[in-house]
Amino acid sequence: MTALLSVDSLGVHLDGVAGAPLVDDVSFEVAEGERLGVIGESGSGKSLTALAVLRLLAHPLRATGSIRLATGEGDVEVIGARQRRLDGVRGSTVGAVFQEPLASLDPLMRIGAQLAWPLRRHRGLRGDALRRAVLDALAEVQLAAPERIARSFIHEVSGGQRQRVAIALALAAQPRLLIADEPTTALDVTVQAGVLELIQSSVAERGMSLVFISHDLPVVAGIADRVVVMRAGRVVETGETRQLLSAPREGYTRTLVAASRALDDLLPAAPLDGGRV
Amino acid sequence: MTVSVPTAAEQKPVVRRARRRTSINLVVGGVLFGVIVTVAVLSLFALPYEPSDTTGGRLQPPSGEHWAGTDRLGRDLFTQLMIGARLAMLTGLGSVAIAAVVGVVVGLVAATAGRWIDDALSSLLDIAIAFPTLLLAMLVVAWRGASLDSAILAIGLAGSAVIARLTRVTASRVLAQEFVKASRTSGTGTLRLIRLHVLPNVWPTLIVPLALQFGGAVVAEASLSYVGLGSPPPNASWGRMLQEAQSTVLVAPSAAILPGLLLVATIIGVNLLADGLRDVADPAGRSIR
Repeated sequence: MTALLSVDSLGVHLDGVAGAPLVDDVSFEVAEGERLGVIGESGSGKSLTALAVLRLLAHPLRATGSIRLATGEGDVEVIGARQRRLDGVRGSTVGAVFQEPLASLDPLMRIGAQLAWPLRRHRGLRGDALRRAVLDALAEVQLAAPERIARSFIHEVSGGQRQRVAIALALAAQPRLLIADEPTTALDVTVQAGVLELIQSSVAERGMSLVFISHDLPVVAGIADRVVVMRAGRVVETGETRQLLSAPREGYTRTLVAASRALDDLLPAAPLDGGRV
Repeated sequence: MTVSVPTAAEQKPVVRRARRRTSINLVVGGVLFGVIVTVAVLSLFALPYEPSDTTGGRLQPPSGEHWAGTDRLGRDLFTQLMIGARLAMLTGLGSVAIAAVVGVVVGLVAATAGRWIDDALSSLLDIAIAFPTLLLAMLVVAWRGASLDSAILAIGLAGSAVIARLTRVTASRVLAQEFVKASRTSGTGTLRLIRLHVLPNVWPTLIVPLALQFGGAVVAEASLSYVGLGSPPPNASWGRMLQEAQSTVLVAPSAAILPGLLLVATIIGVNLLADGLRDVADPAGRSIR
């Protein structure tokens, strides 16, 4: 399989501040149809890596190294690409879902209108066809009453619905790679499972590649084929999910796995014993 | 294939159904402003007397024939007040339009262009904001001669600096928002980004300052006319009426009081309207349908 995304010795620097880079020498590849998990504690540089891939780092943050995206018309080097070239690549090649759905949707635009733009731009739809496509897109992310949602402003729907809308927005341009940056962290636990399943099924149905960023090990274990473990801006360990979790080689990964296990062990015991073990 | 079924908790809509406030500000402001606008429009079609008609007798008090009395040349004051309303509305509209267009364009350029351009523009704006409106107006008058156009241009340009700065700040804040990043990732170019997300989100913050500038512009034009830098005679601006009535204020007080009252009413009306508009423009306070 060919690599859809290849990141090679990526560094993220804070301009004007001396010291170690925030992300240092990070390399990984995502193959066509592959689901890659990126895991690490807060501040480990996983979100910065995602932003660099999307080229959303603003001054004073600066990316170095190489990020190559395979597109229909040849590879694009994201770092240093012209804005125009990048606009063509975004959406149709990469889509993104962020942590806080309330913030990732325009508060002054009806949901339907927001969804209409990428559909219009990337699929060239107009008029009735566009309206139907908007409702289809909302139905596809399992939102009941798509007509009502399309007419609503973002503050008028619930958190889980918001994230489903954000996913619909990311999928609208039919990207080949979806970057999900902690897409379930801001949601209730009960809602999380639904959104995760949605991401999983959409990725499977469309044969998309996925970069799933999270600090939640069990979540990543459930969704990713391969895992990159990051800490302090560096890749600590990479490997097949199953293998990495059953036999972590690095000390940090071992700590992570052990911590998750410990939490899991607590769960059934707590309600029965009333806290005493 | 797994298909996730949304849980009940997730589907429950969070509808913050804010009570729709019938804004008293909007109503009172609308009425006050509406009256002035109506008078201004009427003055285009019908005036009680010719503005240069001096047959009314000098310094007459208000009567059935001359509703607002006459000035010291015997001209009808009500006619002059109506023309004054037209000039005031022209000044307000013209200068606010100039301030809005110039200010928003400069502000957006500063917010979206690189750091060097932003820094340069911001420093220029600091200077422009510190520059007194009346001084700028005098320069424009010295350049183009005293006319209503000069006054409008000067007042508009002076106002644009504040609008530009406000636009820059608000636009940068909007551009830093996650939804702009999300929109960017779906391939939205900068110009479309501005049209889709930045302008609609910047606009509500500009409405009130622009409306306030409308009031400010009317006062500024009155001041310019008062010192003889506004529209030249026989165009009766309220400011010039005040200046002309000043020497006879003890004999014929209505000639000084009426233009003053209209000025105050206009400004209060516009400001109330601005507050009312702000209440309405905020969609978080809007009901669902």
